[in-house]
This record gives sequence, C-alpha cells and structure tokens, in this order.
Amino acid sequence: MSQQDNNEYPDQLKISDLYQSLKHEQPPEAIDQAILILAKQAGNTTEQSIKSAQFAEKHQTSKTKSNWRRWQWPLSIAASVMLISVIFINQYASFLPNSTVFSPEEAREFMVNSAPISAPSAEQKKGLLRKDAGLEKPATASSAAHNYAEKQALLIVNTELVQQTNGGLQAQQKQKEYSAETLAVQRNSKRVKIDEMPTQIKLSNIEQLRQQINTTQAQLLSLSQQQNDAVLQDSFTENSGAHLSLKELEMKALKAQISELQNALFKHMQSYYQHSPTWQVDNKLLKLLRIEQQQAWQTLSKQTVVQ
Amino acid sequence: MQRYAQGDFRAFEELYQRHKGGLYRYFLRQLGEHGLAEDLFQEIWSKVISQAPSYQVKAKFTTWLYTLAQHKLIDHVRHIKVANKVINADKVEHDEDEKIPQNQGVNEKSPEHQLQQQHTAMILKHCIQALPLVQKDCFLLKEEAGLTVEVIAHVVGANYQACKSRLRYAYNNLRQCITHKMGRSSI
Repeated sequence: MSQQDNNEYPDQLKISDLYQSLKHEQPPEAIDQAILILAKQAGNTTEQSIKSAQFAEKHQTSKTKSNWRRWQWPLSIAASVMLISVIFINQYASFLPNSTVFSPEEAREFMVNSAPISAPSAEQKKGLLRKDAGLEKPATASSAAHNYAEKQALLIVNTELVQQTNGGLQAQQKQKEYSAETLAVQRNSKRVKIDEMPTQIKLSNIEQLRQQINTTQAQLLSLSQQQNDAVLQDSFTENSGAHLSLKELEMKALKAQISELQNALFKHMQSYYQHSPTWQVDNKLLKLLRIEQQQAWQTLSKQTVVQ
Repeated sequence: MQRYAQGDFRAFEELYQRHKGGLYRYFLRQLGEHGLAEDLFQEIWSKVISQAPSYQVKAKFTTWLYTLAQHKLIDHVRHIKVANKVINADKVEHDEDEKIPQNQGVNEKSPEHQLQQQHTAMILKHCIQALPLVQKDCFLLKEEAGLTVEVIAHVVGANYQACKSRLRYAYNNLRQCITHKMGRSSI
C-alpha cells in the first residue's frame, strides 16, 4: 500500500466510523409485517408443493402409463393396418384375375348373359307359314271366313313358332350351360394335369364330357336340319345367302366345340385307364370319339369297338 | 435460506431481521426518496421469497441479496432521470450555511455534541447523495452490506481494480465534501 493510501486509510476508517454511527434508518413496521406474512404464506404453499412433488414422484409411473394409454389406440390401429398390408402384399399373386377360378354356375351365367339369343328369322317364319299353315286362298270361301281361317292359321303358326323358339332358346341355353361347364372342365384340366386328378374326378369329368358331346351333337343336328329347311324354302329369296352363311358359321363353331370335347374326353379316358386297366368302356362312350381316337383306344386297350 | 425452503419460517425471519436495515438504507441512499426505497425494498424481498424453493448455495446470501438489489436499482435508474443528483467526482458542492465553526471544545455527551453529531450526519448523507452512482454503489455495498472488494466487483459486474478505484474515489470525495462543509478538523 502506498504512502498516499496510508494517509488516506485513516480517513477511510474515520468516514466509515462516521457512517456507521449514522445508520439508524429502518423500514416501516407495516412493510415488515407485509413481508413476513407473505413469507409465511409462501412457506405453507412450499410445504404443500413439496408434498405434491413427493406424491407426484411416487406416482410417476402412472403418468408414463397415461402417456402410453393416450397413444394406445392410434398405435394399435397402425399396427393392424401394417399387418394387413404385409399379408396382402405377400398374397398378392392369389388375387390376380387370371388365377380366379369360376364356378360352373358363374361361367354358365356369364355365357347366358353374353351370348345373343338368335330369334327365328323372317324366312323361317315364312317357311313354316307356307309349309305348315298351308295357306291357300279358297276359291269359293267368303272374305270373312277366309280371314277367320287365316287368323286361325296364323295363331297356330305363331304358337308353333313360339314353341320352336322356346325350344331353340332352351337348347341354346343348355348349350351355353354345357359350354360353361366345358369351359370349367377345360380350365380345371389346364390348371391341374389330368394325371394328377383323383380317379373320381376323372370319372366325373368323363361323364360330364359325354353329356356335353351329346348335347352339342344334338344342337349341330338341329342346326343342320334348320339349314336344310332354309335351303329348301328360301333358295330364291334375296337374303338366303347371308342367312345360310350365319348358319354355317354356327355349325362350324359347334363342330369345333365337339372336337375339343372329344379331345378332352379321350385324354380323361386315357388317364383313367392308366390307373384302372381293367376298366371296360361303354360302347356308346367310345362312339362319341372320332374314328382315329377310337382306333387309338382299340390299340391301347385291345378292346373292340362295336360300330 | 435452505431451511426456509424446507418450510422453516423462523429461518426466514432471522434472515430478514439481519439484513432488512442495510438493504433499506442501500435503496434510501441511492434513491433519496423513502417511498421509492420502500417499493424496491419490498420487491426484492418478494423475489427472495419466490425464489426460495430454487435457491442454491453458490455464494453467501448477502452477496445474492445485494446482487438482486443492484440489478433492480439499475433497472429502476434506467427509467428515471437522476442526472441532477449525479455530480462529477472532481466537483463538490459547497454550502457555506452548513459549515460549523471548529475547535469549540464541547463535551461529547452534551446536547451540543449531540447536535453536532446530527449535523455531521446530515452533511454526510448529503455528501453521499452527491457521489457519482458507481462510487456510491460501491461505498454502500461496503458500508451497508459489509462486502469485500472482490465480492463488490462480482455484484456490480466490474473487475477488482475498478471497484477498488471507485471506493477510493468515493472516500476522497466524501472527505472533501465534509471538509468543505464542516472544516478540516471534523475528520
């Protein structure tokens, strides 16, 4: 400490002593009371808050639980959605349209709804009219009687036409049903190899194919007869060529269908015969096959086909 | 303070009784008005009470208390104009009317001595009031709070040497002021 400080230091002490002798101002009593009351109230609150804090610490787990519970449902929904998505992605191939298997009923319905039903043509009506109605103008009948007879004839013709149409429609519907069944059988055959089918299934398929071939052949025959009649009745009309073409197309389609059915039938028969060599095939069934298929079967089974 | 934080009210009462005078005079000397001093005084203790639960023993309670007070004072001074009360360190007011003749040889316990004492006190207060703010701050923290120079430096946010200088200047100014008003022999 410097000389100046030493000289000053006693002055500082004196001033300090002088100042200390002055200190007597105090805050007012009212302020003292106010502050002490505030401190007391705050102290009580602090005590309560300490207890609350201890209580909160004790039950801290419940708070964490409530946080988890708040997110319980959203998390569970998200997990479910994820699970479904994973399953769907893994099984996506099963939901492809190509792999869908139609039941015979569904295929039948599809065929019925999609295929147009052909109505009897005008020429057909005329042919029937001329052939069956036998309308000839009587030489001596009055006009009223003639009209009455004409009406009766027309009624008969219409009834027959309706019956034929219905029959044709029914036949067509049956054809479509069998076509649908054929479709199902063919799809089943394609999807599952015939050799891997159980024997019962093979027999069932064979029976189904037999019925289908019979029905289709009947349709073909009916169509052929219609065509022949049309040829006879309408050979000189203008639209006969187009009408005949349509018929031919239909016949051609039926023949192709029969051929496919025969192929499928033959395959099923071969497969079944491999598992059951003692199987004796019904001749009627054999006759449904083509000639070369019959010969092949004869060679395979050494069974004579009775013509 | 920690005992008060635990809920012991008597601990606070003890603290309050110990420090209330010094803090009150600190504000009184700085502001020069009783009302204003009382307001700030009350605000500081409210803050002490509210911060009691979070109080941590990092320094002495006195240091913490006067740090709060000093910050509150600075905030207050920023909003009021005290330039007319701040005097340059080299300039000291002279009041001829306050001078008292020296060497009167009065008895210390006599009424005259008491009167002289009162007069001296009044002059000292006036001189303290006349000090620059930073010097007054350091002087009061030393005299009222009993803080050392190092702690004062921490409270006011200045370094040790600056605080020491401010204190030296404060005492010098007070000495000169008192000498001018009362004569050299008074100190």
